[in-house]
Amino acid sequence: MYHPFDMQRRRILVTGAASGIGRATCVALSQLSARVSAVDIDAEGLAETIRQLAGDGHSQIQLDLTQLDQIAPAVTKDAAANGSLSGAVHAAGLPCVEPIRLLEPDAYRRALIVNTEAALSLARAFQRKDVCAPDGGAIVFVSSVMGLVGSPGSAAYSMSKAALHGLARGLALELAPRRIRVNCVAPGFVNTPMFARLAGFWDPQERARVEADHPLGIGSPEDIANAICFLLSSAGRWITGCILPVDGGYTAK
Amino acid sequence: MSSLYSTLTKLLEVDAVQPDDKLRDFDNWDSLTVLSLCAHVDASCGVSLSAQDLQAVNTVDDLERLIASRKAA
Ligand SMILES: NC(=O)c1ccc[n+]([C@@H]2O[C@H](COP(=O)([O-])OP(=O)(O)OC[C@H]3O[C@@H](n4cnc5c(N)ncnc54)[C@H](O)[C@@H]3O)[C@@H](O)[C@H]2O)c1
Repeated sequence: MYHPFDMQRRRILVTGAASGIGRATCVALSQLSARVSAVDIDAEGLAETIRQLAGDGHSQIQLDLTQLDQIAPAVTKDAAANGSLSGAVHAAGLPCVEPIRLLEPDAYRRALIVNTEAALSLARAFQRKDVCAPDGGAIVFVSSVMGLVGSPGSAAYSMSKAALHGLARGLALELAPRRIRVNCVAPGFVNTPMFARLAGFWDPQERARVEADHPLGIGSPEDIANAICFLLSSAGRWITGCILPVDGGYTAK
Repeated sequence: MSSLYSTLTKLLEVDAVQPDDKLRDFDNWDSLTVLSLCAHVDASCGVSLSAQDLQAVNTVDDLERLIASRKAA
């Protein structure tokens, strides 16, 4: 029976796979019968993700994405060993909440490299003829509502995420002739270890304010994973260059 | 702890801070400053303080002692 979300015989590479949204994406993809190449700097977290996956044929790649020149060799090696890729998801990311007076280049550079520049390097690696499946594929960058709107202290993070939107639109047009689609998912606040760290600093009033900003409440990693699967699957085959907010209504206001 | 003092001088935009300076007396002491300070303390000392914890803190020295006691705990 045809199912537009079915991922059988597709291999999808996911960065940030050891935690939060990246891990939930790996799990959801495996439940749709995809094979997953899980990438993260955190080897222990990766091993736990692999344990949670359905099916077999998955691989794990321990990689520090700030080493931009190591991304293409690692991706090419994985494709040669395990088969060509039909999709790539960039979910690795770092928060950066700083007032502008603290935004010296060193304070935001790591977040900019992991959030933004690594996404470009990943897309470059993915589109190679010896990596991408011959019938094309799809790329999803996990940006943020903070790439669409701002908040005090978000300047550097917003910059890193808004840049992903430009990257996705440019690549969407450049890679369309090769049937490679490029989209972004822009999450609102989602309950992950990154969120928990940040929320730990808030007082109850701030917590209540953030919750009220999301008419459907704080999201779960699965909410984002499902949207990513949709964009990667055949159900999303006419969608490219799109920024999809998945935010419980955060940007509707 | 010297990293705490250097973070505070940058955050509060002053040349130096003294142990008995009152945090709330600085012009820059607002909710974003508190959030940023919590993130720095977490990153440099592995101690997770909340905005509420900081409400109970009066001076720089109090803050230093709070971090030390959380670290020991
Ligand atoms: N949680 C939220 O509320 C939220 C909201 C909007 C957007 N996002 C974005 O979603 C993505 C996933 O966030 P999350 O909440 O799951 O965070 P998380 O911290 O739980 O997971 C992020 C993962 O990225 C990995 N990573 C960080 N630096 C790396 C590096 N140099 N090399 C390789 N891997 C590295 C971490 O090891 C971790 O496994 C991020 O891009 C984040 O900016 C999150």
